Amino acid sequence: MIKVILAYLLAFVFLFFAMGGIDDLFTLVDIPSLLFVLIGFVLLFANFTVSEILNAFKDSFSKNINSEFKERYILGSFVIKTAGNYILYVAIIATIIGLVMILGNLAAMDKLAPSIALSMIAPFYAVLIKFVVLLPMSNSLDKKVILLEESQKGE
Amino acid sequence: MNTFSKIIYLFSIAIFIYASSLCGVTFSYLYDVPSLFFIIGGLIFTFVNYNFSDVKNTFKIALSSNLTNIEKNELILSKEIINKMWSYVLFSSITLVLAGIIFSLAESDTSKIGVFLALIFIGVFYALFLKLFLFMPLETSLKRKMILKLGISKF
Repeated sequence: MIKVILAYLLAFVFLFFAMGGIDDLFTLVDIPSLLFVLIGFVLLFANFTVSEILNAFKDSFSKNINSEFKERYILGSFVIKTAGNYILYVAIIATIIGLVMILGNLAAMDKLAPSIALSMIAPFYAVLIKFVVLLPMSNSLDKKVILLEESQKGE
Repeated sequence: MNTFSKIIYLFSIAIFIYASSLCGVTFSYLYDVPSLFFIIGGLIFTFVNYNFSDVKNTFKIALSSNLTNIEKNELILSKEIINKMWSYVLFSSITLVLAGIIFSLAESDTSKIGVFLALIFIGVFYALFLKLFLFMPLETSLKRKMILKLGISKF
């Protein structure tokens, strides 16, 4: 667990340096984009039961591998991959809406900035959440499935 | 699809509309009849390959909440139909974008190019909206059933 936290911290330090320090972080806060990304997580509840989603999150953080939970791990990995796909598609839609707003309002300069913000910040959130949070979680579940399969082969 | 899923689905559409309105998007921005016809034309292509009853059955299987009466072949065919529908819609929207770019660049009045370009992205918006709120939930529901019923781990 400590190794995981250290890896996360190191990754975030690199991200902060790449973004040019902590001062500029407030420019990255945009409520409509946050709402767009939230849609991806809300849609997850339309497809899966609450217990399936909670189990997916719980299993991806737990260290123990239970040999009876193979199907649960496969489903959990699928839940998390689906969340990632949903937020990526929502982000692309936000980008397209932003583009339509920009191109439809080329004359009105005051409306340009929020449209550009929407078209760029929503994909940023989506990619950040997908690669920083969801991908490690689904990889952790995939690893458990592979380990279980190998142990079953050995028997 | 139980009542909770339906409420969550409608809630996600409500968040989508609210987030769009926060950025100043109104209905008139995203309403374009030719783009709509292009996308519907793409959807109709599905019936070239599949019977109407197959498509109807796909929706029925994806939306049903019980797992007992579903056969393996039906699940696989349904997933295939959803994938084909999405690819037809995607390619019709790409055709629309290319045709739109050609027509907008042939326009001699340069001040109108922005509006033309905005219009061609609306087709892409419709395609992605259908993907997010129709094809992806249906496909995810079918894949979930495949995992739970058939034990398939890779798609």
